[in-house]
Amino acid sequence: MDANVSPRAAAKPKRYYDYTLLFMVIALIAFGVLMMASISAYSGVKYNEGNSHFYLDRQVIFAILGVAGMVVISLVDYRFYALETAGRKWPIFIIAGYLFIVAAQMLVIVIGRTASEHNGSANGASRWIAVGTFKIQPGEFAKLFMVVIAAYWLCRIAISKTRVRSTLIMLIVLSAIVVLAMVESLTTAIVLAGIVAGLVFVTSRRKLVFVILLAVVILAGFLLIRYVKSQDTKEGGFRLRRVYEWLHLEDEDNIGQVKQGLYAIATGGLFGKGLGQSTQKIGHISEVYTDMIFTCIVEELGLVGGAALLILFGLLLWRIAVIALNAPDLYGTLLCFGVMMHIGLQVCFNIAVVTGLMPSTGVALPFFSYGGSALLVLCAECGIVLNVAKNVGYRRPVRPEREPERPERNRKDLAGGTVSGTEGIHKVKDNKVKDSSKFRRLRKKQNERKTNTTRGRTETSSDGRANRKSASTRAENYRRDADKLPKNNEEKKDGGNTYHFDVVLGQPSKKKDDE
Amino acid sequence: MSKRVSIRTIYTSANNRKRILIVVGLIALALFVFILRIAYWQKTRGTQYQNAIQDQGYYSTVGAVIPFERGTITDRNGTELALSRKIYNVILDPLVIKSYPDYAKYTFEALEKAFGTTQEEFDKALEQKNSNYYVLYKKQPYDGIAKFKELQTDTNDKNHKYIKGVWFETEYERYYPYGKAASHVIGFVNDGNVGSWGIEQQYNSYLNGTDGRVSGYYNEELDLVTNTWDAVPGNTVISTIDLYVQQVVEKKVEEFLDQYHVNNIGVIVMDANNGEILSMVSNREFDLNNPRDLVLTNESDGPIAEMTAEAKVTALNRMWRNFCVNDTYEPGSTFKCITVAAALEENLIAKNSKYNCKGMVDIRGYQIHCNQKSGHGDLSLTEALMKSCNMALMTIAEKLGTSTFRYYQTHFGFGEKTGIDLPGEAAGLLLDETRMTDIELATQSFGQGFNVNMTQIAAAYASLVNGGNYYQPHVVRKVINAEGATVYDATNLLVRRTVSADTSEFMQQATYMTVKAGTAKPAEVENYLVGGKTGTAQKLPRALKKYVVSFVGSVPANDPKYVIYVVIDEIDDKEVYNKSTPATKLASAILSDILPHLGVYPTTGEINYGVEYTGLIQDDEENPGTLEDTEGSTGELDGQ
Repeated sequence: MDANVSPRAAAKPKRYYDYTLLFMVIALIAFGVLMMASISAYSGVKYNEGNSHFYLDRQVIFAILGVAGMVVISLVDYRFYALETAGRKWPIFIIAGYLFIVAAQMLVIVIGRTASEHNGSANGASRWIAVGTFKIQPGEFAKLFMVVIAAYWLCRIAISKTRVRSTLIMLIVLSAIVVLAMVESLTTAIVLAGIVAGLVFVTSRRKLVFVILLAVVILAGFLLIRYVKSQDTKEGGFRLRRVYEWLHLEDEDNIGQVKQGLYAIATGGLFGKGLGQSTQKIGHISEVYTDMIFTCIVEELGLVGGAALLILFGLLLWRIAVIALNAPDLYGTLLCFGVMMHIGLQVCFNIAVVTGLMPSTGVALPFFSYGGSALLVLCAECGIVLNVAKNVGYRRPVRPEREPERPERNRKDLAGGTVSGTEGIHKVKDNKVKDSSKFRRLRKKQNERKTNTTRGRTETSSDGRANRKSASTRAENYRRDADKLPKNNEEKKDGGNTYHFDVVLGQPSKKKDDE
Repeated sequence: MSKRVSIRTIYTSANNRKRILIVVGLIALALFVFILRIAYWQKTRGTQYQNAIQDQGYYSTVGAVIPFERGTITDRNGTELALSRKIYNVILDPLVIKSYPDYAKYTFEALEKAFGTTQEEFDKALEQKNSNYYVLYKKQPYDGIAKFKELQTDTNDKNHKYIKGVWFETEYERYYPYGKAASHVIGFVNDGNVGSWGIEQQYNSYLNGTDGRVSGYYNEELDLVTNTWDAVPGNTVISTIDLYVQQVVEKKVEEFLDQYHVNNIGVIVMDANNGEILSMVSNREFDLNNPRDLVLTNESDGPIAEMTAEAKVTALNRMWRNFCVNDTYEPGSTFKCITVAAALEENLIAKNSKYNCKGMVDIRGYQIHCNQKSGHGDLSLTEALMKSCNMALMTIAEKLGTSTFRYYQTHFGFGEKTGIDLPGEAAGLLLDETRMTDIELATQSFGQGFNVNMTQIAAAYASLVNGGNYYQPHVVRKVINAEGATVYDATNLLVRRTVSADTSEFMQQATYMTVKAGTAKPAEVENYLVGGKTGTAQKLPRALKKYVVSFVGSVPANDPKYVIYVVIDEIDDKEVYNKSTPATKLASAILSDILPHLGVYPTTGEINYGVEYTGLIQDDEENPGTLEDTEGSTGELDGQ
């Protein structure tokens, strides 16, 4: 083995970068900008002194900034966000992020209230802080931070002895963000809650609680419909009115926003009226460039265009899901899944509203609806996912849960001494978990191992997948693994590896101890 | 935890993966449902919603109609009798107002301030289902509109932007400044600028202009480009009506109607030398600004409140009907002038012909009486007219013969429309020539047995006395467009010459004498020379003893400028039901008021035509006692 070229160093230039995801995102953004050009023109003229490309210009600026930001963020190791600094129990990024979001949301409540009193806004709430001519929506950034914070925290809970209690504490702490968001925008709060719920669902092993939760949500929705139906009036808060409008969607005198959107969808036909040929965007659907943009996309591009858009979203979400499934660690998985939840929830809510499947909520369509904050946040999230994807290919050639039968080799491999450079490269290539056949193979092995294992918990000491084991046993295993890590790190440093971080849970780092 | 655990050593478990796949599966399912849902809407609602979109209109093209201003109708002196005023309709858009609760509140407040709208009115408007168009008020003056627009743009009030769903339609409202004046001549206008009756109907196409349009579209720069086509206003119709004369006649007729109950009454004042009608009055006038406000013309219809809808329509149509044009009757003795003129033209009689009246003639067993059953005895041609002797006229007609008589009937325009520019003229009815026996000829010679309308007699009589020029009677002199150019001219409507100047001169004398010392004596106007002829026609069936009494006259008698014709159908009065006195008195009253205005100056003295006349002058079946003042007025007329 050449002393100058370690296997890792040799493998480094061959790092995997998920261009598929990158170009999917760019394609969606470009699609969004194109539709923005078509659909926002009338609104631009109407609301911005005849500037037909007012919204387009801004969306393009944010699209460029977003793509650039995405590429930059994709280069930052995702574990950086969970990097713990000396002397603190919690990573500075997580704490700072949490405080920043809480503060920003409080600020927007104060400013928003003042602003709404000033300009007599109809809805009485503004969701943004004005910075120059741009308006920052903390609610959008809250989604990003929620994904990062919840993913990190659930990783900690995964090895906690008191999972239920820890989870409840986490939910209480994070609910501050959700409640603050709810003050200004119920929909943001719903999406935030949805992201957390999704992440908890994925990390939890319980079933009943989620079934009950789902039942409660359905029951609440049912009761709401019953209530609005029994009232049978448009009076009441604007939210109740929206439910009323939704329930009376087919009434002829209902010519509200959603109905106008349905007009657009229904008249689109198979191939649409042609790009730029929407008539509903002209005055009938106010602010069509935001939440209702999908309706005019269908009107202009038809069922085919709308389906293509949804399929494109589906592919994007699937791609993120694949990365989540193959992330090198739970933290990466949860980050990706959180992003997927964010995009998936918003797409589902948005399309469900405009197709009349649920009451109007005001959720924007990711990458399409006008909004700089939202676009930047989505790009940032995709950047994080891209980095996780990058690390999929950079994972240890053999991982404990992948190759549980060969723990020895695994360790040696980690030490970096037993595998030749070329072998290393091969392994890196092989481990690009793109083909699902590999998954199946691994899973099969795992299942075989599971069925064969009757000896007890301690036997598979490094098995992270020991689902049925108690938390304490699993934590023990993690700790055992952790004991081995410093040595690895040292060796990595020796090998010229550039890991600058060693994320450690619950304890000061080894270095600190040494000092 | 006592020992450190690296985050990167916490691996993704199979459970995690399984649950991620569950969520992914749910999202995929949702996306699939969405695609189906879009297809569902397109399949089931595509056509319906396409129609709905078209119904609610495109904002991409703006289009609005600019209503034209219907032309003005003036009298002969330029006084506006009918004009169009700009008015505003207040239109509510209930759907817009209901779309947001604050809209209703603030819009109502603004309406209340501007128009005094009550909550009830407003709520009623909002009850309209599926409507973008609710007419809250019609025909509002600009004051309220200005007030509302001020509130709507009042930036001091932060709620001004919630004032929504109210807009104004401008349109023109037909307005008649003189209300009832000349209602039967002018007519009125229904919705959509459609004239009904009178000049409004007859000259509808002249009065109507062309709607203008504003249309706009968004160009490629999305600038709104508007094109405006201005409305073309309608033409101005200058009628021949003289408002003063018309109002005087109306007043006199009203007074007459207050005194007597009649079936119909009609008065025409016409320029003798061009056929221009200065005044045309038919019964009571109705309010043109409210033409459906029923004025009872026949008391037998009973109280208006108790009338059925059908009866009301009948009564309204009777009220709108112009007796002077639309109805026919037997002319009676006024026609005798025509018979005499015809015979003179044919040279069958001479001005100095003599006749003997025995009071009755027997034609093949039919006994035809003269108005004076004892007979007038010997009389001259002039006296025959003065005394309205039927015997003399029957003798003249006999000389004329059926075909010549019929020729002159049509020559004077009877049996066909005069072509007066008013709708629904009745042509009248002449007996078919093949059925004319000597009996029919005899009765028709004094105006019984055929139907005429008033304008026919007026025009024929005018031609008799004006030198023989038959002018088509008309109520419109000229139509000019907005630039003042003439688009229709009725200044020369000479139809034909009817009689020679010689005959005309004789008729001037004879009619003068008839008023001076004949049956038309009550038609005299102090200091004016009036010529004329009375008529008393017995209506069918003769047994009912109902009469149409009339007087046609010209003034000044020696150089007629104006012709007046009064017809009273069935006076319901025991004393005068068969006398022409009411007609002659009415004509006299009218003439005495209008002649100074018309520039006919009073003359002192009388004309001596050298006509000899004797005996009692009586009208048809008229009580001689009523003409006592003329008794004994024998001898020559004194010269001036």
